[in-house]
Amino acid sequence: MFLDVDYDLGPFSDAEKAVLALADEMVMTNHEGRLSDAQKAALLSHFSPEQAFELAMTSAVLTGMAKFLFVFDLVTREDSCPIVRPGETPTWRGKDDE
Amino acid sequence: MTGSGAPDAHPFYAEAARTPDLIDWWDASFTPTVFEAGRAPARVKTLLRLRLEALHGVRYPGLGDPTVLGITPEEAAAIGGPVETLPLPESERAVLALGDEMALTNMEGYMDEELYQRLAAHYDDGAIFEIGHTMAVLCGFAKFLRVWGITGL
Repeated sequence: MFLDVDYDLGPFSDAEKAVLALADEMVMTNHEGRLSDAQKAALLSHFSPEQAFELAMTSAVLTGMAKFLFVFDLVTREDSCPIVRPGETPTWRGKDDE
Repeated sequence: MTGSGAPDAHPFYAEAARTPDLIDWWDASFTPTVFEAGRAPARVKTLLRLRLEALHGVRYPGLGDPTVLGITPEEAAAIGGPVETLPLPESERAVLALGDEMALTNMEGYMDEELYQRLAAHYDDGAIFEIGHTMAVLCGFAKFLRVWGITGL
């Protein structure tokens, strides 16, 4: 389901990694997304409750707008995109699918 | 809002209490200017809201009492069923069909030409775009409510 990259190994601060973990829960391909207590604690160790809540609500709009762009065909689908039109097969396989 | 005026006990409001600007965005911006106003009828968008609540297993905060818009308890109770069997006019069933394409559980969601023509028979392009944009916010918000653990159910 996820891209074949590991942001834990990337040039990100712990604060940024906590936000990217939130994004992984919010992404539309993760149907079981739920922020765990540990993930929420990680966010709150770097951000105020107000900032963490704002980040989550921002990701809500981004996720919903992404879905809108796909349904209305307003975005170019990259080869890496797992979201396809009806009847199409994704060409990309994430590391979790291997 | 179209609601009865009774306070909304949705846990979103407790969670967001320290971010009143975000509550304002939902209650005083999105809801009155997009969800309740705009080009497409508020009743249609409220039917859509009810279906997206059913499909995503959440309840949205602060979007009002559907009965104010003439939606009967029977219609509300049936809203999760197959769209084409719902006792609603085609103009409303077409919007709900678009809602099914927008649902986050539908990974192949797509407005094809047939669905677009069903919608275009009743709405202009501005209204169709507005309906899609409204659903973008509702679907994203449903995801947020689930991830944050405040489904309101």
